[in-house]
Amino acid sequence: MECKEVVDLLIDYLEHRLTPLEHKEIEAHFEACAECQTFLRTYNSTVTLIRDLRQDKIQIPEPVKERLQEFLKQHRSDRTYVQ
Amino acid sequence: MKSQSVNKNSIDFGTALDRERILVQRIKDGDERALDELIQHYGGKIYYLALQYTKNPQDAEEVLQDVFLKVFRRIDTFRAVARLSPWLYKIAVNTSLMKLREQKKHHVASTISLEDWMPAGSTEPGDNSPEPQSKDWSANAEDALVRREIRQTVRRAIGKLPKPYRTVVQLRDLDGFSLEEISDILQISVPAVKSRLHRARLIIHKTISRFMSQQERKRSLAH
Repeated sequence: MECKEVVDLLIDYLEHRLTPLEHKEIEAHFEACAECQTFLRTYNSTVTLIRDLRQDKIQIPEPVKERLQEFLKQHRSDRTYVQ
Repeated sequence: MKSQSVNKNSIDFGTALDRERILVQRIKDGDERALDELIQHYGGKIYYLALQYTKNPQDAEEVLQDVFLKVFRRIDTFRAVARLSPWLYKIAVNTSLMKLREQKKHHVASTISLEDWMPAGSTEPGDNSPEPQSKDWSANAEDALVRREIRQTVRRAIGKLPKPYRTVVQLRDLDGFSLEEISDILQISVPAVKSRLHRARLIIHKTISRFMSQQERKRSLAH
């Protein structure tokens, strides 16, 4: 397996979506290729750093929320039951 | 060990699903506080998603209102076996796309750039080639101080991504949807989701690598 193929398969590797054969091949490549090992580690860290942002609570701006609640109150009677 | 973690995840997922089912039932029963809870939980995320598409706070607000009105009107059609959030996001993406089409028809210029919302960084759109690099900065990324410092850089890098990439990163890495759910929300194939996600992460990876190199240079100059 070439380094480029490893990079292309990283998502599937991290999402545990490789076939057993592909998994074996990519693991063998990581063992033999220091550069790809480094890339895997920093790629993994990248995903971790992106996911760190999950801690940031994205709050709806208060005036927008108030207008939304008012809007829904006005249109509440329009509710249609489709079952 | 592996099967234990899968079991744990499914228990957590089940609990979240149960909470959603209860919330949906309360909305169906006309409990006003339940709708407020839904707004409190998803309002910011939907508003931000709409802002990503429309790049205009007024249009984003209209999308937000349309989305929650559609949710309110269609809640009785929502199947109890499904997860609420992918359904909600699908409505949000479709409503945002409709607003975009409306914008194009009326040639509405964007009044806000995403960087105003997520301040600009150094990543160029389309800069997605995997950069061969030998520096292993992954250990530095474990450092709590570095992680705090780099948050803004990561946020900016996401904000500068081309929209198709940004949306997929948002849905997978920030909102935690599965690749299949994203495929359904965006109406694109799973391979397309994976490709966009991978390209987006490579761009952000490159930005972080640059940041880490700069930090290392600063440290070596200081000594």
